[in-house]
Amino acid sequence: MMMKRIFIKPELCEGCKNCQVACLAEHSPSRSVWFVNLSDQSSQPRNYVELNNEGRPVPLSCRQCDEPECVSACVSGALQRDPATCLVVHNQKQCAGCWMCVMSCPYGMILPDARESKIAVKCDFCADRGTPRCVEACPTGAISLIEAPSPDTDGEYYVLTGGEQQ
Amino acid sequence: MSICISADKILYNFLASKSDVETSFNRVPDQAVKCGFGMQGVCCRLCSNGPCRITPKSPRGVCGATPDTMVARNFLRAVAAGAACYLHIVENAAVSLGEIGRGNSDLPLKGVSLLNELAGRLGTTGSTEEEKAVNLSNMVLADLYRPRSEKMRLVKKLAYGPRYEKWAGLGILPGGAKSEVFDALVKSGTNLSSDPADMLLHSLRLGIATGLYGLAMTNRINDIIWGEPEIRLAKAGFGVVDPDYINIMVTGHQQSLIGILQDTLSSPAAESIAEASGAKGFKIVGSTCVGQDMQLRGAHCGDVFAGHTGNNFTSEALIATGAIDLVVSEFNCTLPGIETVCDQMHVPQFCLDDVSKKQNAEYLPFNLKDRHIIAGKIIGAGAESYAARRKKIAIDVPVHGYDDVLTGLSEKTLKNFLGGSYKPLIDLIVAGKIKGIAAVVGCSNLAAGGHDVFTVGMTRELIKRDIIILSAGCTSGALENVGLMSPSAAEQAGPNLKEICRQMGIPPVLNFGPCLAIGRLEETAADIAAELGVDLPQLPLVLSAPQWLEEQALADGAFGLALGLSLHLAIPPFITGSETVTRVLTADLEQLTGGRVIVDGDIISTVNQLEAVINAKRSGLGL
Amino acid sequence: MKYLILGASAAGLSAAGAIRRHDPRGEITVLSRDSQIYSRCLLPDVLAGKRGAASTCFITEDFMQKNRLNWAAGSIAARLLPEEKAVVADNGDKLYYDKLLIATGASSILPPVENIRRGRQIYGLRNLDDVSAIAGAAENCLQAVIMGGGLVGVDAAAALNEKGLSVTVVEVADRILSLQLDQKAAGRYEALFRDRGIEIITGEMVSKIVLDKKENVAGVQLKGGRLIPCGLVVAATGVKPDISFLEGTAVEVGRGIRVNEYQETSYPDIYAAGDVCESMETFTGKITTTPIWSLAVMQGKIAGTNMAGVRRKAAGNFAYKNSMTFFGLAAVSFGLPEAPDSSYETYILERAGSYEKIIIKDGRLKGAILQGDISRAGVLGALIREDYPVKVAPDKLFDLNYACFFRELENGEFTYQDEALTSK
Repeated sequence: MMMKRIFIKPELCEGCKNCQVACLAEHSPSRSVWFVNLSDQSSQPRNYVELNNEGRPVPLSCRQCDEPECVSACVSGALQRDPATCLVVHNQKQCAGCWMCVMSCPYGMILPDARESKIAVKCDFCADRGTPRCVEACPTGAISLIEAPSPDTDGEYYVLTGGEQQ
Repeated sequence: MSICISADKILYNFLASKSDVETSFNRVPDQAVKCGFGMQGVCCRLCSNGPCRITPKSPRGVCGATPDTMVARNFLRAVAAGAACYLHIVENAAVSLGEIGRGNSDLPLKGVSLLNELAGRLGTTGSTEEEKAVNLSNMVLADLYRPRSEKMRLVKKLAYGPRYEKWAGLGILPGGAKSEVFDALVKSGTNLSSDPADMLLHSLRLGIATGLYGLAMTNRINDIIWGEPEIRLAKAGFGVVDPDYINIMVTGHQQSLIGILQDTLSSPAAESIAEASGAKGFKIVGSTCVGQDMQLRGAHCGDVFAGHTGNNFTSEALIATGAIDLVVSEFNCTLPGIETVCDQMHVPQFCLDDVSKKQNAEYLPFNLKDRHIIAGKIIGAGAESYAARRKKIAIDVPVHGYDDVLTGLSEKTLKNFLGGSYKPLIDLIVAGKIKGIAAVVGCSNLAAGGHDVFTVGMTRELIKRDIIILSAGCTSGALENVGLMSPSAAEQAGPNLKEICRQMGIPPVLNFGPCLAIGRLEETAADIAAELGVDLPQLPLVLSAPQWLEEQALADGAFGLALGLSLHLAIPPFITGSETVTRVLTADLEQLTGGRVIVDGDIISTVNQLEAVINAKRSGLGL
Repeated sequence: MKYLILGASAAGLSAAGAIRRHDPRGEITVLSRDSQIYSRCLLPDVLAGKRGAASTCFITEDFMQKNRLNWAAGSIAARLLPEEKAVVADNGDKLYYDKLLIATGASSILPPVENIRRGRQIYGLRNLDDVSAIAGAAENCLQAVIMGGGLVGVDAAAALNEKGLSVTVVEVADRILSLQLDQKAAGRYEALFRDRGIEIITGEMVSKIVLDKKENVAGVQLKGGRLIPCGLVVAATGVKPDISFLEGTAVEVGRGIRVNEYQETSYPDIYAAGDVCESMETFTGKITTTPIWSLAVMQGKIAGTNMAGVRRKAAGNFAYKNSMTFFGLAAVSFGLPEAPDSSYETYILERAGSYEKIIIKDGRLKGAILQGDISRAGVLGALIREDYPVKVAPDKLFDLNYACFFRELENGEFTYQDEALTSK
């Protein structure tokens, strides 16, 4: 089936971090970029702008992998791949804060929450919106949305990454 | 491509039909993605370590600046820049007044009674009106140029008594106005002040200097030179443009400069030049606040002033009609966007003050002595342009505007209209027929719902609730072009207000003119307060600059806060990144001056809040 | 096609899902001792009272139904009859299969200590039943001794401490968590535990369980002679794969059931996955057991895929990784906790409550410990697992993040690729 996935064009990124502000806003009570508390150190964006070896900014966020290692690593069942959307969904109530997912994501896209460091936090693709806020907030087009083919994993619980199918 | 919407449907349709003309309305969608750090005022690019931005992981700038410091510095700089703009205007006006007094110009003084009255109030000496003009000019300029260590001397005589005492108690009486601006820039620099409280108090001092000098004193000087406002009905909107004339569009805020065109363009010499080009004559087409100023003093302008067309964001559209032959600008609200439209429409631009110098404009340095030379150049260029461009450019002036806009309202004319005292108005308020007063002021932007959308929507809702509106600024342009300043708008008001408006033959939205007239609103409020024997914060009066645009508006706002008024803004003034600054401005300040900022981007919720403020003040007065 | 799966934990259920994906019609039977699906890793939380047993279920409610699994709960395999392609359950049932997966996991082992099999309040911490038993015993005593300071022991100690018991951990090595952490990181946990009132005794072992006349635990005696009174002992000294039912068969067994990269055992149509098996481990390049949840899931999926007839190799069989969190201090470790010799370089960074250590040999990461801020863990783990060359200045090591290796596939997924990795 086809899924929506965020696509990154790092050469277009200017490092403005507007994607992070948008993410913080979306996950704040007001959802407003005007009113989100940017100084609240118990909050955190679920996307990142990191510098590469050349010092160039690269916007990063969860890939919603076809075979997410975080899901394979999750001992509580909090992380599941939703067969309907192909998104990797994290149920915060079920999360045990064991950090297996933090340890297992090869890209570092799921982290302990900044508030209490008790549960993991990851990109939820702004689940109830059509388009993630970071995509809308990117002024340069470095963060865009694509349609990508993805295996339909309905009926299958686990997925993993890496193995080669023959 | 969609364009920004406007409360002014005809304007919107006109722009939507002009697919070959790019205006600000077209650029809104392309600029829709905003920088969140900028919005919150927590991007600091004062030094090369930056730009620094505040996030949960980077809670301070490299230098250690907190979000409070960053926001306060940015805010103070903005207020200082806005204050500088208005102080520039009053400086030019005072210089002109002095020149006339010294006999360096053949301009008459049309408002001598005000001059005499003011001289009495301020203790301006002089045995003749000319001497008084010179001395008044000197007094004003002397105050502007004082060091910050010397308080400005006219403040006590210009301010409402209880306010002066309040300001003295808070230590916010301004020193020399230009020095206050200067030191605001100093203290908001890198590694200077980090104290948000001190910087916010400085903003209030700048607000007082802006209000009493930049606004109110500019009005008085212009009234003395160009004549005092008189209440009358006038045409407004694009409909004032007559393509048979050589149309000179004026933009800016300084009638003290533009005014020199008034008599020269209607001179027989000018008329014959116009006729030689095939035109019926010259017309000054008002746009932005200077047009609003001329509309206000329209009784003294004669036929050469065609009327006022609209606010800042209608100026590009006005040129796009093709009926404008020349643009003369002298101050801001001269959008860079007009340049491409001017080029497209073959419209030459002239500039009388280099602070608003447009790249393609010819700069004619203003000097009152040379007024005939300057006007002559403009007449010549206008005629030449008319002859050259009219053959090439299609003209499309939409049917737009109203013929019965009530104008000429001022602190004095309103009082006179009411019979020489505010008592009748107060009685209506006491009786609850009028719930209260909302001063809807400031700019227009393309942000709060679209062009004038919030301003018009909020005003409609306020009058429904029997709250009378006094408007000054680009809000006036907005409200007159949607008919709310015509007497028939009474029908849109609540039952009580409607009845009063019908009886008096007035609209529920009173047109005080340009943003400079915010100074007139202050004086009106002070008169009402004096009549009641209370201070300004006790009045059932709210201030809203719903679609504030820029730094000048923030300086106006700082004045409103110093006056102790509740000031609504639909868009936060780039402060929400600082908890402290936001708290001080929206809450704590009420304990100091009585004023506070209300930020609300929703029309109904805003009106509910403003009505609640009015009701609370009414109860405070025992009403 | 008849599939039989022994075990209903990570590997077994992962395999079941994979089989069903590739074979919509096959008949899948799951045999398990447990009649409740629960996550072993969450047992300490249940013991501590932080989580109910019901919420340790790691599958969706409709998993069994959606995948049409016949779940034979409450019994275990007693004997394997490979020639007959059948398994005899301990209740006497004989279950036939075309393809068999052994995912029976492992059990706690009790160390050879006097009285350890006689004493009544001596438990492992492996099953839900263990949790109930420990919790029951904890009701009746004030002191507990944990034998073994590995992950399970330390988990048990923290849980019992939170229940209000006075807890002593006895560890034979010079530190707790010696397989996962170095002296410094382990020391920080030891200090934290001591602050909470947990006694840590290292370099010691229990020589005898002291019992009363009714064989109730009364204390333990250490080799050094010290007597520690307690009413409860948790034995956390290791596990062994559950393979006793294979006795007498030709299925090749080392420490666990030997499997290849398709999770196939030496015997046709028999597969094994999870804690019960041993396989080629990526980091060491040796055949070892790989008792890690995520590997059980991966191996189960590979086994199931191959059982259903789709050939697929296991990958990323990297067992040298651990994550933990005790009293709010998180840690993740990969590979070697200490540099074995001077051919390795060790870099250490301590900042704002965090301890980070990276071990490098020949430009490749061989070990990493992150304690406190673990946000860079995932990337470091991937670099160690994949043995990527990391050519950055030592001062940049601790800032390594995926931006340095960014490479995106056409479908928007990330990947690690050599050309991106050998960063200038």
